Parts: sequence; structure tokens; C-alpha cells
Amino acid sequence: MIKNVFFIFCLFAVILLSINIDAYHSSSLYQKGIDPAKEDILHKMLGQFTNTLSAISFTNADIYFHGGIYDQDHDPVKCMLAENDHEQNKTNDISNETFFMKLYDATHITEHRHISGNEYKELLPWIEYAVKLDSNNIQAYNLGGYWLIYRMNLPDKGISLLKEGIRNNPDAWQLYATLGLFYYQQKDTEKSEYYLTKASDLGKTFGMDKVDKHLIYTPLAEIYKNTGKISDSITLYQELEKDFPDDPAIKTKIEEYQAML
Amino acid sequence: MRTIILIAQHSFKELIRKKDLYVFFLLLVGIMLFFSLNSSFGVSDTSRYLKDIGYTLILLFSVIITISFSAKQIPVELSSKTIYPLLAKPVSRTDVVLGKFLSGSLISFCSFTIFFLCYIIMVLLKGSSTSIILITQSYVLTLLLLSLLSSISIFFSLFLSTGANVTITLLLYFFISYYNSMLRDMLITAKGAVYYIYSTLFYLLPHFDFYDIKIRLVHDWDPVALWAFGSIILYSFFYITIILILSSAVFKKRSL
Repeated sequence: MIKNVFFIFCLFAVILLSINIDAYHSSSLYQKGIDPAKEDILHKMLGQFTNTLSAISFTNADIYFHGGIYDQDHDPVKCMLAENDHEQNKTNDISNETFFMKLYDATHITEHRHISGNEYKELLPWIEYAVKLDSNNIQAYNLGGYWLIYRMNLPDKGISLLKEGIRNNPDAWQLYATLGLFYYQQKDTEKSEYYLTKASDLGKTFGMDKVDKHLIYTPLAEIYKNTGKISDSITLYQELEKDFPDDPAIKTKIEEYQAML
Repeated sequence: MRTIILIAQHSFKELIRKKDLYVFFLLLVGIMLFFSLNSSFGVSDTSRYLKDIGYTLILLFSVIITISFSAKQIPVELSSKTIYPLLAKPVSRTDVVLGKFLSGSLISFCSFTIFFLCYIIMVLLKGSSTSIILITQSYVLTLLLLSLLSSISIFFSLFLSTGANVTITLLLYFFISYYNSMLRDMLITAKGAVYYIYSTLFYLLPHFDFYDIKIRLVHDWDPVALWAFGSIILYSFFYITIILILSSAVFKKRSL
């Protein structure tokens, strides 16, 4: 009897001690700037394999967007961010096939389609798993945020996801850009300026292509102009002019704003 | 016919006592419950991922049960030497092969039916609506797939060890399921001698991919056309018959 009681006591002591060790472990991780979420049992068990699973989850989101069909020859992010359907793949020509080949084609789906309306929500579980499994999956954060804000009409959830992504990836200019563009559309100048400026600064450091530059600089230049910072606005347009020397709209803006000085 | 059914019943009773079926069932329920209770970003009525994961699991579990149980059918009789009293009765070797195929298929039908019912109930509880035609088609086609796998596994069991048989049949299943579309594309563009090699592979290897209509079921595509559905049924009966004839011929030539 005494032995049993002693055993149970020891068991409880070990459990209580392990909870305290876990709590201490988590807090010290925070102080070191390490995400304790990465130290959970799933990450401990799977290690770096979680990154692969995250990539698979993200690919699944793309597959769901195409009604279950996987097309490896396209960019999933550009495809899912596109407002309109992109060019569709040609289906296989079955004009001179045997009956067996026709049977094959009848059982396999080759048609290209994008989900719509009420089906949008079906992507969310995969995006959630993608960011849960890899907190550095910037594409998943960015796409998830965009999807929640613009396709699902859940701006609060989208903003929350993008901010979580920024916390885990402070150098991800893409996430600042998406947030900045959202606030710009909402006409929240202060927040928009903050996020677009961050996106612009980080983009210069970590590199972004000229299309992304155009996407960020144009609204930022307009914000600068509206807040009286005309020379800053001109500087941004002049930088854009280097990448788009034949764009008449940029030239007009520069001339127009220079006249205002 | 009565002899074949008796052999099948005997094997079925023996196999139902094993724990594999129950372990897979509990695993299926556990995993599906875990995923069905999840709500992503506060949106709870998402169901396609549950349909997707659930169907993948029931297919995988059923395939494993079918192959592992069918692979053991004849080797167990041989190793325990119960084949001798069996063949001493008025039972031919063809009857033994047919009986073993029937019991392997029965086991797979029962396990898949249990898994499928559980799957449908959980998907319906999640609030998803699925076409009854697609449900029926996926059920029938999977039963045919499992019968085909059972016959192939029994064929390999006549000259391979159980471990090698299970591995090869599983590899064959996964490779053909995933790479058949690639083989078809290569066949379309191939010329000369390569064309004949690809053609032989394409027409001879079993088309496991015909039976997989998960995409249609999960993403609400149209059901398989009736002519194609009927053709797959005929293809299955034809292929299984050929495999069983070959199995019977191999077993007849084997010295016991």
C-alpha cells in the first residue's frame, strides 16, 4: 500500500516538474527569439520534414484551386492571386486514339477549372497547415492573407494571418506589401504608408523584381504626394522610370509633380 | 462451387480473428475525427479536405489489407501442410486458387465496406453533400480494384515469399497509379521500337488508375460516363479471369 502511494506521488511529482520545465523552456526560447511553436511535439517528431509537409500542403491548396488537378507547369501564387482565369491548358487530342485510350481519357480529368464562390473556403485548411508546419513559408502567409481578405471577405482574419507572418518573418517584404496595399485600398494612409515603406526598404535589401516594385512604389508615391511629400514622391517615380523608361504615365506624373514644387 | 465457397468461408473466419482490420478502423475513426473537428480560421464548414484525406486512408488501408491477406492465403496452407488433406478431398488445384481468391476478395470487400460506411457517415456529419451516383461508382470501382489486387497477389504468392509478394504488389500498385499518365504521354509521342515497348507496357500492365475517382468524389466533378463505367467493369472481369487462369496453371505445375 505504502509502495503504491509512494509510486503515485513520484508520478505526480514528475508530471508537475515536467510542466514547469516546459514552461521555463518556452519562456527562455522567447527570450532567445526562437518560436516556441517550433518546439511542439509535431516539430520535435518530424524535424525538418515539417517544411516538406508545409510545401505539400501549399501545393494541395493550389490543387484544390484547380478542382483537384495538379499542373506542375504553372506558378501557383500568380495563378491563385490572378483576378481572372489564366490561359487554360489544352486538353489532350484524342482524335486518333484507340478505344482503350479513349477509356483512359474518360476516366481521367484533364479539363482546367478554377473554384469559385462558396468553394473558396475549401483552400483554407491547407493554407493553415502550410503555415502551422513551417512558420517561414512566406508564400503561404501571403496567399492565405490575400485569400482571406479578398476572396473570403474576412479582412480581420487575413490581417491577423499577415501580421503573424511578419512576426515570424520580419524581413518578408511581400507580407508588408500585401498589408500596405490593403490599407491603401481602405484609404488608411498612416498604416498604408508604414507598411509600404517597410516593404520598399526591405525589398531594396532583399531584392524584388520591377513588377513588384511598380506595385509598391506607385501607391506609396501617391501617399507621399497626398501628405505633402512631393519630392519623395518624385524620387519614387524617378526610380520607377529607370525600370520602365517607356511608360508615359510615369513621365507624366514626374512632370506634373515637379510643376507642383 | 460449394467447395470454393467453403474454402472462402474457412479463410474468412480465420482472417476475421486477426487484429489488422480493427486497428485500421480505429486509426481511420481517430484521424477523421481529428480532421473533422478542425476549423481553419474560424471557418468550420470546409469538407473537401476531410473527404480527400478520408478517401485516401480508406483506399490505402483496404489495399494493404487486401494485399497482405491475399498474399498469405496459399503460402499458409503450404507451410502448415493443410494443403495435403485439402487436395486429398475432391478439390482441384483450380478450386483452391478460386477459393483463395474469393476469400481474399471477401475480406477486402468487408473491410472496405466498413471503412466506406464510416467514411460516408463522417463526411455527411460534416455537412458535405455528394452525388449518390459518384458514391456508388467509387464503391463499385474500389471493390473491383481490390479484387484485381487480390488476384495479382495470389498469382505472385505462387512463386514469391509473402514479404516479397506484398512489397512487389504494393510497389506495382503505387507505381502504376502514379506513373500511368506519364506512360500514356510518352506513348503518344513515341516512335519506332520505343513505341512498341511503351505500348506493351501500357496495354499489359493493370490500369489501377481507372478505379481511382477520388478527384471526382472530392471536388464534385461529373460521374464517370456510363459507357466508361461499364467498360471498366468488363476490363476488370477480363483481367481477373486471365490472372486466375495463369495462377491455376502455375499452381497445377508446382510440385508439392
